[in-house]
Amino acid sequence: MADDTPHTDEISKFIEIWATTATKFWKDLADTPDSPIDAAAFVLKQQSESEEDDDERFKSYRTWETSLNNMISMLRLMSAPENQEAMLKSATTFSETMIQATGDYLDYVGEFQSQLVHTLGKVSDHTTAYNYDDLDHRAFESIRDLYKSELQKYLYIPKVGLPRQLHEQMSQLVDRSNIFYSHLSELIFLFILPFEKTNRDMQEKTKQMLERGEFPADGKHAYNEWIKTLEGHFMELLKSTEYTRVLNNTIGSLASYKDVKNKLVGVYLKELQVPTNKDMDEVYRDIYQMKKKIKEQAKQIAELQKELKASSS
Amino acid sequence: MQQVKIPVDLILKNLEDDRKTTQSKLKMASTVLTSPLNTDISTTPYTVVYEEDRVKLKHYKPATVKNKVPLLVIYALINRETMLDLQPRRSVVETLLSQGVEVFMIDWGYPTRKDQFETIGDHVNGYIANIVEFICERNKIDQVNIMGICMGGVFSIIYSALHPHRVQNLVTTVTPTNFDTDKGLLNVWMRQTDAQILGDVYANMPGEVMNLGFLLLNPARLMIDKYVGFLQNMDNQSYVENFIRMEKWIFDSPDVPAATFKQFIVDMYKKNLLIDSKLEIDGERVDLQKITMPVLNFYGKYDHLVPPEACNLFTSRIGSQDKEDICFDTGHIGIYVSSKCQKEFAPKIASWLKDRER
Repeated sequence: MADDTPHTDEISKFIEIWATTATKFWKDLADTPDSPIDAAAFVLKQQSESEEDDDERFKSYRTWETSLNNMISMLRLMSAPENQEAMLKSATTFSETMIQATGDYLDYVGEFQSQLVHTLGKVSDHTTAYNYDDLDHRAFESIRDLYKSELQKYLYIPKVGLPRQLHEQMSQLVDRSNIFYSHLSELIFLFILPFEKTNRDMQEKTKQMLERGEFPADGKHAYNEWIKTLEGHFMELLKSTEYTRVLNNTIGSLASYKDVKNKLVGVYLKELQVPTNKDMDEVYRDIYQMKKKIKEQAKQIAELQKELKASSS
Repeated sequence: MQQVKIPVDLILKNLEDDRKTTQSKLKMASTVLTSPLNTDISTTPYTVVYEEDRVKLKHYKPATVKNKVPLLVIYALINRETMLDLQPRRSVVETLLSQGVEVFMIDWGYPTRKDQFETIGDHVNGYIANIVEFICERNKIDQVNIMGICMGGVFSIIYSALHPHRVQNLVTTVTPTNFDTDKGLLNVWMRQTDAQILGDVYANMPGEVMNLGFLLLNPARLMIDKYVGFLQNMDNQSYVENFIRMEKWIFDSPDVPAATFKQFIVDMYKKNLLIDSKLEIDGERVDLQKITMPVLNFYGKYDHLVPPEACNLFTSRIGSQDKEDICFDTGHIGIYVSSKCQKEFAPKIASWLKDRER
């Protein structure tokens, strides 16, 4: 690594200059008349006994000073000739990795984009009239696959610390909402298809009319034809297994999303001392059971009273 | 391809005619829409004679009572009973009253979150049973006639099987009993999806969500063509008033209690327990053979919600000897509101009940 030597020297010099400048800055600041900071403290050495009282007065300053000292020591250590080579190697490796990752990502995006374009092209070109069972949904599945393989994992990086649980719920909410909206978009997309198919059919019909030498002059008739065709396409869509599958996925993901959302809202309501739906549901369940019991007992009492009346008369 | 001679003159003439018609229609529509419109629904006078929780019992009294046994109408938990009294001269209630039938009608109210635990059993063995007891006590009778509508028809059947001694005659209208059919989209969707989990998600099943589901049964007609028809008839006051009445009714959708909704989806749509007499309510089996009173069963040939296949098995599974199926050439709502059915539906019920008066 002979080529690296001039660079390591430069870095070493740079760190030395920066450390000296930083120390000088703080020292000058302390030397300013009326400054409450003791200039002597900027000498990078251990504290003496006489400075202990000042420690109480200049706590913040001492903290900075210690941090600065640690950083300077760290930088000096890093700029030592025996470490510089390793550092430069790491830097090179890191940049190489970044370039590689970016390349991979661009490849993936390119591949995805080409698949997406191809799929969308297929959706509009190759859907058969009155047939919804072989729809090409790879566009939505690709988005979900990309999300699940490349993005979802970041939301589930283990959370730590005191707010761990809250952060976990927030990540879950983002995740479930992404999944729900992807299914909802797919469902909405399905509803566009009958319009597309109908318009194509109408174009075909118009073409045939023109070929026969007729001209569609009656707008009302054309509308009736259009709505009838649209109704037919909708009926086929709504009966298809594909629609039921997408509908079911949307319902399932909605339930999952709402569940996490309610839990998260519950956390904030609890902070505000407001009863959550869950709390209220428990109360409602108790009321429901009590009411049922009271009604049963009221009926029994009424029957007993009737019997008593009958026996006494 | 033959060269088409485009009839430019004709197109221009049509455009000019359309412009004139539209202009005149818009002018008239503006007058109609800004004038006072009579769009009230449920205008036949009634009194509330019984209340329990959110449930009310409406009492409609005819000028002359001709039937000794009153008719209790049990509507579905979906939408509201006001459909039977949508407008004057097109009201099932009005026709029944004119035939001398005393009518009691359950108004299920608007369930809230606190009602989410109420099951089918709570409705049948609770509210309905209490209401029947109340009517019997009030009118000093032992039995009532029951007419059930759609889901309310299912409740009526369950009640009649569990409490046959209290029902003199049973009328079921557009009532699904056989859910094992692919004819209706609802049957397909409910069987092949996990729609019941929506009950847990929302605590109760929201009326708006159900309405959206019903609109999606035929989006082209219900979300587009219907409003195109409205735009074309905006200059017709009577049309506009009827249209608004129907809109008021159709989007007045109470939520369905979660427990009932889930039970209905699972036990009816998914397991089809009712028609096979395997359904259990509050631990008791609903045996259709115990329905021995006279039964009149109406359904619509073009019903997209409850297809004929879902209704026409019922009378073959019950214990009654006196039973009749009537299929009208109409849809789910048309049976109650179409002018043709108005002349046949309610008068038939009145005469059928009269013939069986004891």
